[in-house]
Amino acid sequence: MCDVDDPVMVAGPKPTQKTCIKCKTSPSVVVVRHATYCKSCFLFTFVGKFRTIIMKSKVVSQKEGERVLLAFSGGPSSRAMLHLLSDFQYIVPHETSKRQLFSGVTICHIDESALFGQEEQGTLARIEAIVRGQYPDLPFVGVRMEDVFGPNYTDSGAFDRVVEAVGGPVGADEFPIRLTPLNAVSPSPDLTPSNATRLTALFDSLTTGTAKEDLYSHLKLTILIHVARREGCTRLFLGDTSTRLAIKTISLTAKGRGYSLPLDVATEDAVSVPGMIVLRPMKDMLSKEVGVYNRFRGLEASVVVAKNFATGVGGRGSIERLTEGGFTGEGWNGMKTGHVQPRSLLVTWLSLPTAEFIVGLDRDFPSTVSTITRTASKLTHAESMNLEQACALCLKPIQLSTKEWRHRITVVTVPSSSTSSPPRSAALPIEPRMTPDLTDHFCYGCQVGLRDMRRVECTGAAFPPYVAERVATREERVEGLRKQIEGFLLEDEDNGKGER
Amino acid sequence: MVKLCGICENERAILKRPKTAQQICKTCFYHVFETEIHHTIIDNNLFKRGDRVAIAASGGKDSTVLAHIMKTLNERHNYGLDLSLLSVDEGITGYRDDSLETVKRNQQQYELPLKIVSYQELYNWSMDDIVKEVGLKNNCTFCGVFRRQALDRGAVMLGVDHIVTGHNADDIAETVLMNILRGDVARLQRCTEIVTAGESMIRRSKPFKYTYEKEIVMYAYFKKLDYFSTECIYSPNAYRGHARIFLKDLEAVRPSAIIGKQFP
Repeated sequence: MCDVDDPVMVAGPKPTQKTCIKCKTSPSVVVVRHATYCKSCFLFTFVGKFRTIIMKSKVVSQKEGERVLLAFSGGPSSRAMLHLLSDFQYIVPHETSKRQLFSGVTICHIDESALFGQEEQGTLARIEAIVRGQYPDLPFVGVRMEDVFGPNYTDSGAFDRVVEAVGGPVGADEFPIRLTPLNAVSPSPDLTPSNATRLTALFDSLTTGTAKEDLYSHLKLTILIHVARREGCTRLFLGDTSTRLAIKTISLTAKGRGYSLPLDVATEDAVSVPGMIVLRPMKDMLSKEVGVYNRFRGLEASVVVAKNFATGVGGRGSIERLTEGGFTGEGWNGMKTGHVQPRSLLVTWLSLPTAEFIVGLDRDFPSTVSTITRTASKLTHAESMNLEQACALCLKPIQLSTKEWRHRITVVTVPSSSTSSPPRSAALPIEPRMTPDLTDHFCYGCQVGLRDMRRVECTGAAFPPYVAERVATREERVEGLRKQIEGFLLEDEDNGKGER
Repeated sequence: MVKLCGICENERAILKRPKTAQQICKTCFYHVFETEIHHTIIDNNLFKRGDRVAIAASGGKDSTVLAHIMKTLNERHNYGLDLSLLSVDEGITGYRDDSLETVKRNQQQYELPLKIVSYQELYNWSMDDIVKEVGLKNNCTFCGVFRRQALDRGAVMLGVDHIVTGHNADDIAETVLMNILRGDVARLQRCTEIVTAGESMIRRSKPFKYTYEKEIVMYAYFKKLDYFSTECIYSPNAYRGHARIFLKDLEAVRPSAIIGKQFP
């Protein structure tokens, strides 16, 4: 997705070479890594990269009718992507024999302003005006992030239970969630909270920036996939730039998401969402290149930098923040209002005392970003990966027996009577469970994130119904299997389930 | 009011566990620390009964705790291992000669046989000589390659089947990060393996794979283990330093980041 926090550095260092390395005639105006380009060669190369990714992938099919959903945050990368794609789709009137690459492109914008409370103005109206004004032929779909709590985001269309946190704080090993009826969550049954309130409550209940950021990207992806299905799109284009993917690679690894990492940073992912191909056509461009492109094409005026919830958080706010480097709200507000000249903005960033990692490294070693992205693109997912076993929250495949693994390497109990029970029993729960164990419906990364959630009694927060529906459907399948063989099960073998 | 241990709810909690942020007492800390390593050894089938195992000992905290733990667990769970200490003398004046004294003291405390192999006798070059020749740049590359082989040759001299090293979770996470940054996919695949076999077919393993560096320091501190804690005078590698600082920052944001990196 095209996050606004992509570092865009418009002013580069002075080129050492006076002429463009490509045409060798015109004077150069831009430096990309070690190469200097003139304006027209830069644009040619940039457009070429975009088109190569699309043409090399499987997204263009021979038969008619593939629709694209373009994720459009309004930020620099998605703005450039929209421009590139609509150019690529355009057919000169006299070329009658040519066929459009895709049968249609739908633009989808998610308004996240509900995350920041009342005082923040929504982006939806502004974005819609820009898109409808400049691309009147392309259908525009605007959704609000809080809509994900609506019943139409579930498969059945009306699912009335939610998943909420019941466990203790950090350190407690019992996985802290349960399924409950939707209305039981609100303090008084006649006062149902609005979806926006629910969304804010959910984010407020997460105690760490990292967990919030995770949830934020899962919700966004879920919404995009849902909208794509609704609009009959079979292709989803995300505007992740090379810089962004490098940051993602490192931060996802640190979050314990290495298992699904190959899918999360793939140029083309045709497996994780059934019936849809996810493409990242911007993945070969640095954020800097995107910024330069937007400037050359005069797109900067229509780039909308919305408030991101990491805005204004210091460099240690979350894993991703830390990985990205030390940008603070200061720099971004300056960017937003446009009062700060690019060069001084650059200075603001670089002088920040916080640990800047990727962006900092890439400055000193200009090939860092491309090395990481290329490494990541070489990764393949495990053959044993079962794509049907998807995490209820992030919709990514689950690696099996994560709970056992964690229990074995992180012992948090002592055997109650050390003589009778061997250390192995540490892996077993000491107390009988009141609620069924739902751990297996979540991937390791989400399990870690959920431990940063405060209990429902304090917050009244719950996950959107789509999560609960996925959990419940899976549980019911297991229950159905059990019913089939019920007659052959001995009573006391499965006490926990029998009591339910 | 005295804060009670989060596990036994009996004794006073005296430390906050870096891995889980639980506040626990000393006894429980020893228990969980040792049990986790025992699980790692059992689950990965690191040893067979009767194996002769050399502990790679530098005199630093990791290898000192490793020697202590291996001896303790071997006796407690009856692994039936024949343990010994193996040290490499790189020939770094003012660093290795002092740390080897620590190893010699450990040998007496744990009553294990000790073998020291030196670069001087194996290669006829000490690190001091190498640094004189190549300077302070890239000297770590020589040292690393030499040590790997020296350990293997020492192991052959001792006649052991297996070497255990004190690499901890932080070290491995750092290596993962380094390999991503360097774009070394082949190494990235290999670097998280708990057991590797070198050319000499002597198995090497890392029982501390899932153990946090901080907890090793804590264990050594509470057990009052005798270890040597000076950085090598020929300075650590700069690029790895970036990764190390970044990793410590990550740990501060979310402690599970260290284990997370190893989740295969």
